[in-house]
Amino acid sequence: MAIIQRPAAFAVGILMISAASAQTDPGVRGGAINGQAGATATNPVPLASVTANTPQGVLEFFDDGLDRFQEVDAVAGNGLGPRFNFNSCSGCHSQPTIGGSSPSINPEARVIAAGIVSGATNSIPAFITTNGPTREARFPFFFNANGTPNTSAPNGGVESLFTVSGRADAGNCSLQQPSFTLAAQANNLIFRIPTPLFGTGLVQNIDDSTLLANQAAQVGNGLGIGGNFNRNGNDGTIARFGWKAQNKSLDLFSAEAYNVEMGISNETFPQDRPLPGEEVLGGGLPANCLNLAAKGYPEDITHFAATASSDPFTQNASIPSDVIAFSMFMKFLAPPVASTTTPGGATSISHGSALFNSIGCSVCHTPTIRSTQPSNVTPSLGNAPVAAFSDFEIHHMGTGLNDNVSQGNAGGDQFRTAPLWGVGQRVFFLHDGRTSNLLTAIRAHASSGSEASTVVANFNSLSAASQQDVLNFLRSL
Amino acid sequence: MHARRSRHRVSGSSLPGSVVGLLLLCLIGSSESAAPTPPNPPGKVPEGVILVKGAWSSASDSVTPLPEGGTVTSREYNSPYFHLSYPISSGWIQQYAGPPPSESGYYVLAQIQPPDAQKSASRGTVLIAAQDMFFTPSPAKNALELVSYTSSHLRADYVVERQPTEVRIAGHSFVRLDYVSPVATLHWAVLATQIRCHTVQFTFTSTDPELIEHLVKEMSAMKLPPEAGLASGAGGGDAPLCVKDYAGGGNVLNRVDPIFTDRRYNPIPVRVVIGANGSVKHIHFVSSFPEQAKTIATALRQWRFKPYVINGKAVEVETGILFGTPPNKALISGRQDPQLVPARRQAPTWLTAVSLCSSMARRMVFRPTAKHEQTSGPGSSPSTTAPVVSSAMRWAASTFSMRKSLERRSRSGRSARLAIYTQASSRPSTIYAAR
Repeated sequence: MAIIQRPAAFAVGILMISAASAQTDPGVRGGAINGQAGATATNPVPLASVTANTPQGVLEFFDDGLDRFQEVDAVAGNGLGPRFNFNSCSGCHSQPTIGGSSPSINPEARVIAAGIVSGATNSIPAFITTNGPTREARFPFFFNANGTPNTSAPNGGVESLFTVSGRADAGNCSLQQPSFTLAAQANNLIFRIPTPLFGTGLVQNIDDSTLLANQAAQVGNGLGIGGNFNRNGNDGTIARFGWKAQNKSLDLFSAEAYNVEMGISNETFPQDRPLPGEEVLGGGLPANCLNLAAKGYPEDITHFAATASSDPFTQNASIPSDVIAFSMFMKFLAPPVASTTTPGGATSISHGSALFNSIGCSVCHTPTIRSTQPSNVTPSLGNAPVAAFSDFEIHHMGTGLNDNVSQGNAGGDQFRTAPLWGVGQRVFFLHDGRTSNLLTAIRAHASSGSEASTVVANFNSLSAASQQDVLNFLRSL
Repeated sequence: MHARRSRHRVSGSSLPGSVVGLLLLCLIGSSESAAPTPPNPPGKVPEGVILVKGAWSSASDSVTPLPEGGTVTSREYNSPYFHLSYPISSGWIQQYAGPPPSESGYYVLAQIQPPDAQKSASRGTVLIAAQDMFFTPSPAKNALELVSYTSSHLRADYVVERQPTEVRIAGHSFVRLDYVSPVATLHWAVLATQIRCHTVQFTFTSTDPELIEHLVKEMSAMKLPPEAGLASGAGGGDAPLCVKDYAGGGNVLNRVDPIFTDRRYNPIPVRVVIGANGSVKHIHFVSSFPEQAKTIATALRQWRFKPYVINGKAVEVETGILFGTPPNKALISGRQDPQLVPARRQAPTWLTAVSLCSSMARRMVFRPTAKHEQTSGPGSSPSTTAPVVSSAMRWAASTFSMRKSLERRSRSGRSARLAIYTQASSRPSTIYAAR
């Protein structure tokens, strides 16, 4: 018995030594939220000039936007649905604080228990789990009548997870959820998780010429990296928000999300949104699911008269629509602040940063774009560096990350370089939240057709200690 | 090399120009209606296949070799286009094929590394790439200049170990640049030569300098075309001569501009082979959407060129044309000019392409620049095959339309600025959702 146990114990010891020396993702960084003094889980920090209330009144627009961003919407009164993914912005944009990405505990998994949707008419899709990421779902292709995917008919639109059917405030609206089980069986189902919103006002305020100059500086990178911009179809200028950089501005981003994720019509998207199949093949939403808020359209509008003094904010801040208030909130959110010591210590982080640049990660994940154009809104938005770790280009990411969804000029395998500021306190990675492990996320960048394969090979060529330094550096952001 | 070759090609290189043109049109037209790869197994979307593509490469026939059409076997990388073969180090493999060509004409031809690179003792990579010198965003004119440009633009993270230096490999001139990342202890050796007006570049990367030297030595078994050299690679022999900017000025006897009705803001680099008779013989869309390729092919088949003559004999010539709007001025090499004012659009493009600065718009419309005038057609060469709208007609029409439009807006009290914005915003968006 002892003879058998001894080698086993030895082997376990070897494994433990091996595991201890191998590189590992340090996990979500602790300490100050977003690296900012004063930030809490429900109170993100605005830009410095917004905190200073420059110009006069801007801080109340931020506070009002934060308040509305957390508003829990119902059908009656707000116009939630009839199809939607969740009933508040902050439910999904909350890690590590309001305005962030997916939280570790998924509120979408509790919509029945919380009474947000009726369990009699809705079920929780299998890909929505308590400890998984908040997700939206898409079917890359429409289905044939026999239930098989028609790969000649690209779809790609959002398939809302839930319906208001069965809610007390939804009248006799009767809608079914999309066939997620069928879609999964047909491998015709992809996901997106929320993009974090910190610092997006700075991103919006970068002139195209600055981004083009950064692109030109990467010529001859010798790493197999090309890259181009997703351009706004109306005027050809650079779009920069969303997983495929499909949205030009925060106003558009905000309006579309309010309509698509929460089902609330607004001044930019003035109708309730059916599923892509309902729109293209089924004639739109049924009449008994329209105008459920009984106040006409759009459901979210500019308030032409300021609200009463009971409103906690100034009368000025109460006038814009929710969409504009959300946009203001996002625009004024301060970017995360990197730690210089956590995790792994200053030496490791500094070394990891140098390695990140040397092996080629920074060709796409440009550490800092210099700088924003002058701002007519608030001083902190103007003439400022943008340490987003992104070139805001779209790149081919190969078969491994391809989702077969086209948005604007981006094809199925093309994605915006995900900004890495704040990645140290994110829980889920990649566009579909497939992993919580940074190392897995890095290696997923390599596949056939990816521009990043050579850079990943460079990363793999580093020693385990150096790879650990890169991971520590990333978790310091 | 999955998906590196166009699925829509035809053998038509020996057919008369008009027939080839017709086939081009039909074939490229079919690229829109042709179904993507069918599901396999039936009823499922295939794993690991990019079915919904953005701008991608394609060609007008399936016979003419393409830069991205090389193959990687266990023994060699072989490129019929470059007439090149490179022996792969024993046991090394291509684990991942490269991305499609970029919109600036950059190709990843092959990526070679040891199997299971994460565990291999000899870690390193070989990246074989090519830059089409007709479309390079750099000011370089040849391989030597491009590598020198790379050397002079290396970031502070790297230290140059060998300045760009001419070396002889397999009987041909290459330029070699070595640099190292001290912090990563990673070494790079870049060896480049020019073939068919492309800089073909071999980049060796490893923490082990001896491994790199070993890989460089193995290059001596390469096979290269006679033209390969630092600046000499301009086609010839079995390949057409390549001539930059041949599709401009007086070389174009008849020209019909493509009219993009949908996507308009991506650069579309196109290489064309012009036959000895002056007609377009082959089109390679380096990066384009299918509908753009169709539109360009329809236009190009009507172009006629002055035959390229050497020693009194007309020969085939290959050149580059950049359609669409280039993202920056550095990309204008070989560009096809008239995208600011394409022909036969009901709404002048400036209404949508130009910023809201109405004064700029007025300048552009009322006072065409020399560039506009140059680009709006071969005024000296009457069309013989198509109802080409002359530059003068187009400008007259757009100017008249603009003046009338401004007059109307002025009378109605609306500013031109507002009117332009309205026009520009009227196109439907293809955006689906915020994330």
